[in-house]
Amino acid sequence: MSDRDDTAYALETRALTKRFGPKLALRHLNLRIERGGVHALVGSNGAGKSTLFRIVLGLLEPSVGESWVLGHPSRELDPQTRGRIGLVTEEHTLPGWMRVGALTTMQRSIYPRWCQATFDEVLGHFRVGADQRVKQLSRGERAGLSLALALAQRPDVLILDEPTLGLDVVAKQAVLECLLFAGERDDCTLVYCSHQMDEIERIADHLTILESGELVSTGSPQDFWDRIGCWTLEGFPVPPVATAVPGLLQWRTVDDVEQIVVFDQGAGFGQWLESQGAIGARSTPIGFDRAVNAFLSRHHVTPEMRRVA
Amino acid sequence: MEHLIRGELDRFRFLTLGAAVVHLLVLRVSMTLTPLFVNDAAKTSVALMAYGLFGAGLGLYQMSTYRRGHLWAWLVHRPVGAGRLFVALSAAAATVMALAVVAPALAMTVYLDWLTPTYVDARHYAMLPFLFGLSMCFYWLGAFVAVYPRRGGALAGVVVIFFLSREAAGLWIFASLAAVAAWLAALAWAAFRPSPTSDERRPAALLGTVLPVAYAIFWILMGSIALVRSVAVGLADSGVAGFRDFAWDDYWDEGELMHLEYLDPQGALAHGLRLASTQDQGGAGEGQTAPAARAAALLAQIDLADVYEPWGPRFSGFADRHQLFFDDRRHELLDAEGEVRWTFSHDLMLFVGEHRRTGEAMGFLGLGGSPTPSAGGSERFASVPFVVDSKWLVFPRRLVEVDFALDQFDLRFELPPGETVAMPFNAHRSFVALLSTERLYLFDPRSLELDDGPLSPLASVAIPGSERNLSRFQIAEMIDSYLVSFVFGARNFRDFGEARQVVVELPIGGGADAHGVVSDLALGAGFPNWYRRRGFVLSPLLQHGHDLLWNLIGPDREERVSWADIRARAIPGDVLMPTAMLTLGSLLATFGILAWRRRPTSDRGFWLAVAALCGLPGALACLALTTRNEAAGLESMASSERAVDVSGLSAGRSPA
Amino acid sequence: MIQIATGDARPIFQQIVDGLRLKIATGELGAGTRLPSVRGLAMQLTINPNTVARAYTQLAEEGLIVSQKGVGVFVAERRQRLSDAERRRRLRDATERFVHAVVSLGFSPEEILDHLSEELELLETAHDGESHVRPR
Repeated sequence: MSDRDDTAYALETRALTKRFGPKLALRHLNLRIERGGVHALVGSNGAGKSTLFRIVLGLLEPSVGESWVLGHPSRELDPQTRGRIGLVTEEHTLPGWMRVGALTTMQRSIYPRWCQATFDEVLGHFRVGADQRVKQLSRGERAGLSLALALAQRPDVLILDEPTLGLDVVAKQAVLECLLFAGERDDCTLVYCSHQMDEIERIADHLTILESGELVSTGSPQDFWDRIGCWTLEGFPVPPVATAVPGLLQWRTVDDVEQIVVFDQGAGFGQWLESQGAIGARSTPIGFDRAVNAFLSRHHVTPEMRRVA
Repeated sequence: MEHLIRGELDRFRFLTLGAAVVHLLVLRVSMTLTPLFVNDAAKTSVALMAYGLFGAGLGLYQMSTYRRGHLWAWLVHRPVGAGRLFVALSAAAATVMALAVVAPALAMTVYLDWLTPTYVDARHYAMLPFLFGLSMCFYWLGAFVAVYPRRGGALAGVVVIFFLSREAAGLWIFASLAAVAAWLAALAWAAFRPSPTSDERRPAALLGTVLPVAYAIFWILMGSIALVRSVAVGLADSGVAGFRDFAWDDYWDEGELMHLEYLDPQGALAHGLRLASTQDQGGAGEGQTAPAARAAALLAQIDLADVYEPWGPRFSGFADRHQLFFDDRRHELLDAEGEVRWTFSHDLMLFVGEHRRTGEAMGFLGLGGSPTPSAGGSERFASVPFVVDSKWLVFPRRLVEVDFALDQFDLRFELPPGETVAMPFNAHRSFVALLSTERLYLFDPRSLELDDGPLSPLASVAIPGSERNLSRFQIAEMIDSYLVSFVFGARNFRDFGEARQVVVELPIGGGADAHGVVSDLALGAGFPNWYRRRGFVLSPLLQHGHDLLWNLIGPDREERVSWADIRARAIPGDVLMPTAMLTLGSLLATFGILAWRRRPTSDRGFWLAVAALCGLPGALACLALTTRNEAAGLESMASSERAVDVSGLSAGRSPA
Repeated sequence: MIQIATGDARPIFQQIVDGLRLKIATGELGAGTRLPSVRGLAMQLTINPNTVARAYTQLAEEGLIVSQKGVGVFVAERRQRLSDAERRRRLRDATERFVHAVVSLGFSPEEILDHLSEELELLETAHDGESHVRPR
């Protein structure tokens, strides 16, 4: 179905930089997302994910750098290539004045690889009538519709910008199920951007972390998780300053127990703690969401924060 | 893309329906006040503005909703080219216009044509495509403004629209409409790209925006300079504190055109006489010359004389056949009792009658002057007449009096070949004036009233200058002669005509050319040369381009400047110098703007060429349309990349 | 069949491995029981099928399940798979982890021992029931 010859990468950027006035939304981003699998893109708000998507789709000009989708330069995406790239935008924006039926007919007539079975299957999870206007749909129903439209295009790459934001549990579950199992997912690369760590833990094959427009980590979620260690201890005789703690991500005091989350330290950190005279130090397991959150919030570590209970 | 069109129509269904109903109601209600096809300038401009606002509103609304938020991605990110999407959106808008603008107007026209005695010409139907084109022009303007990323771009669309304000002769108006529509559609089409905020790189698209923006800035500068100068003059004249006495005639000196423009008729005539008498006395050594003495003698009488300034429409262009009905009042004739409205039909070249109260058809009125029940029975007019005072039919060379009592049209005066009417009969109690493009004729009012046949003038005089340059003229009846003062200078404000006052004396009953020049004064312009030619100083290209383009599409008026006019005029040093300095300054300023915005070198050639050609407006267009180069300084940042925290974290491995 | 929880300290694939291992160990899943397909289990749990595949791979490596091409995944016959030394080492590791986890909870060693034996008894009864209760 798809041209396998075009490239091994679904998305590729080289030195991609975007400036909005004095602010840099993307900094020298070199990103390569391989074909196939679910790629999660994580970053705090303002990390530049939406800017990245707009540039990659040629809807925004980068200040410096280049980007490609399926090997085609973003600046000059031809209509055929656009047909192979699905997009589910944040908020699931669709023209509110259109009826579901008319919208479907229109998309069906445009997309050459349209799969009605997939559309019906996905929309079956959400109770959406063809006569309804898009603006009358609930948030979850709109999410379902936009997902169904995107999946029925049978794209080679599907970009999803926070598709479950603001959805209730049922709708969220339905969205994830559709993403994972609807249609022939095997030849589709999902680029999934989310703040929901539980979703990422469930569905992602690859994890890429963006921070202030920079790529800070990429790899499998498990590998990333393994690099984060959590240690609890009762205290130090002389507490070290936060900057002296190697690889410090987070340092909290909960109920007189000091909890230190560190990055890339391995078991050696225990020895370091001992060398500081830490009392009762031991490694404790940490959940994926906490691990990622500690990583993303590491810049907030200050000596003052230590004293805050 | 018919689905997108259908979607848009579904979206605008209430708007379209509502607008159509409102439009129909407004047309119907307005018909009870004035006939639909009889417009004056005010009614026309209100109506056209309403159509324009509707079109611009639709374009703005439609495009800006798509530009907002993520809907833009939904619209353009699909396996359809941006050009086709734009065509589909425009097609939807065209359908809305056809339903909301054209259909109600068509319904009313058809209703008038078939169900009422009102005679409907082809030109009345021709108004429908014009309205359609007009609203589409405004639609594309709105769409362009909504999509174009920089606010300065809006100027481009607005200025292109201005070319529609000029009414071209006859059906040629469709040529200018098509040109404006094509320009605006091209602007909007070029702006409609997946990434509208990125810099336009296609030279044609860039030039298509930059030139109109420079042109708009040109006019803003022209207006600003005039405003600043008038304020400065006011301040200089009355002191900063005392603004209260500020008035133009206090400022201008005697002997300057502007001074004369503000004088009353008597004062204007006296001005010519006074200056002529004093000038010659001072200038000639061997005593007073004959004209100067005469001027002094006449000046002594002028306070007692009856000075009259004819006032009324000056005809510089007669209506063309099939002219759209933007200003049709001059095509209407009411009979003596005011009961029958005779409207001129361009198709039949006859007047068609309609009873004002009953709406009954009253037949046709041709050259013969008596109504006939069928169009075939009347002798057709050769050209479209202007009706003045519901009494006169003015043709380019003939003045015909309407006589409803006798059911006839009387030819009262015919101009010799080569002359056309510039101002028709203008009656005063002791004479009647008629101005042609060549001469001024004075007639006896009694023979105008009492006779029916052709009139012979009491006196006539060749206009001592160009009629188009004639700003005003006064006539005084003296004891044994008429005194006529011609003030020239209508074209002097842009230095295309001399400012002069000529006073001639016509002996009553004298021959056709028996007259003496009493006074012939060159007047001061009242403005420095650079000011009168400020358009040229700002940008010779834009000024002359404007003149030529404007003339191409407009009727003949006094401000018309032809290529021959431009070529015939020398450029004085005090105009050339500021022009050269300003162009040089604009080049430097453009260079500075490009450096300040850190534009890449590849941009320089284009913008410097624009500044060289368009002068200061070009430099300001560069300021309005370029943005700071985002890439500037980022390459160096990339090389001195700041250390990513993660690598720092990993490096900071604890000592084992 | 098994529950997973996101936000748990264990990765999802580990939770699947642990869950199935426990069910096999307690006999809730007897030898020869057919397990859900990779896709099926992934769908039930709404997780990436690759994760399920990875868990099945690990269980197969441990010899707890066998995969028959085109037929399905089944619980393997119970057999001794580890050396005594290895078993002892693993017991020691597990105990150490347990002790680390509970030491700061403030229970007396007796209380901890009581709780542990209760849990082990429960496990024992479940194990005994193997022959009486047919696995689902």
